[in-house]
Amino acid sequence: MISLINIIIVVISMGILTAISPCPLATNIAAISYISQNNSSHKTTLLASILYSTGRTLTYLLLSLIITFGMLKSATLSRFLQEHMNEFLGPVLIFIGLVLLKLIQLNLQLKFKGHKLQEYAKNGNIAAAFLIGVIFTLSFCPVSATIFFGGLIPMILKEVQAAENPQFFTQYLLPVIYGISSSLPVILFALLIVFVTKKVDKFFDKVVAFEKYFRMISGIIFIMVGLYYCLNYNLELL
Amino acid sequence: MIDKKNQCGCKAEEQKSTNVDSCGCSTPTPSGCGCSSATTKTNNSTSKFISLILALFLTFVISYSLGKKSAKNKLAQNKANFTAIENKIKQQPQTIVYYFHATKRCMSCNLIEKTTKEVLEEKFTTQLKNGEIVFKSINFQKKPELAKQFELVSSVVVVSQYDKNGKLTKFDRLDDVWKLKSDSKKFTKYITAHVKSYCF
Repeated sequence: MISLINIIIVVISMGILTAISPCPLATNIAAISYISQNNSSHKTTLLASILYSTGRTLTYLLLSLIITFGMLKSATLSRFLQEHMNEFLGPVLIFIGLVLLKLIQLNLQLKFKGHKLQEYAKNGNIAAAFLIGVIFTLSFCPVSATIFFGGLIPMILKEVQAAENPQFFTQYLLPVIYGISSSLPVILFALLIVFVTKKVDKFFDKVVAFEKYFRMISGIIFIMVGLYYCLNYNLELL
Repeated sequence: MIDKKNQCGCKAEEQKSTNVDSCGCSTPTPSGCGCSSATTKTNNSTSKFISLILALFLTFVISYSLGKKSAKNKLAQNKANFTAIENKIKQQPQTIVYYFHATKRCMSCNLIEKTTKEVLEEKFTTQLKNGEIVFKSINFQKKPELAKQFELVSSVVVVSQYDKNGKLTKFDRLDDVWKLKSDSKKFTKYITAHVKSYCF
């Protein structure tokens, strides 16, 4: 039991360390701005946060399962993602930025069962928060790759082999715990921003006035971060 | 841009119809409300201009990346032959301390490289001079054969030993450099202990 709790604490700290290490800073800022732009109601922000976190968690789980089931070697997968994903990220970010600024219009109608959910989705393509979670997770930098592929995965493999704890826990639950904790700092920051703007909103008695600006700011941040990634990884200029 | 359009008091969704431009992207144009045409026309052309510039930039970036990939593949084959020969000319057994990095360098990565180099220069001066120990900083994304050999996950320090025929006999991947990077005393101890165990 003690070892189980120890493992969970270590995994949570690894997840938080991944999020607050300096190298994914640019993408974290983009994620925070994306989640907090849907600030017309707390529910939309929460939904975007949950979707972002789910995107991250499922990606980590999938990567981990690919390795623990022996389909690919940890090192091979890590190097592949580091070499290719970061080049893919720049253009995608610029595209999302253009959509956010409404310079490109996408006519995507999301079919949710509940009317309310559909309303939320209309408010700002919240579903894209899931996709953003996935692509940000896949674009590893040296620190996050070392923590995940060099730290968490070997630990999981060792635990699976030792078979002291139930396999379901080590193979499935640990990546999930890691994924959730890696998205916590971003979500907390986004919720804090929304909380503060709500307060300011109330103070000036102007509801939803900020959302428009947040969307613009978010779009500009995405384009800036996208340009940074393009110059850095695709053109190798920086 | 967008906030100006809203000055006319219409809802953002209602006042826009889409206009498809040459690159296949649709740009919003305000219509059907009493906004003054001068501001909207400028807004419209600025948005179109920005979209066009960014679309052109994206096309350039994507084609550049694809071109780079195919050029890399050709180079990789030549380089593989080259490394095989390079390792054969060595006359004496050697300890090689590698610092592996990706094409994109980060601050922590540079710090690890710098400190490792400093530790070697301080603790193993004579061995470095007579060539028993060699320090090499290598982009592992450009040397896939080495990355495979050492099972690299990311940027890291590797201590390795080669015999006089240039054949790799043993190696250690020092993954803990990442944990110890901010503690210079422990870092120095960690590197020194490992390199010492590889000295002849």
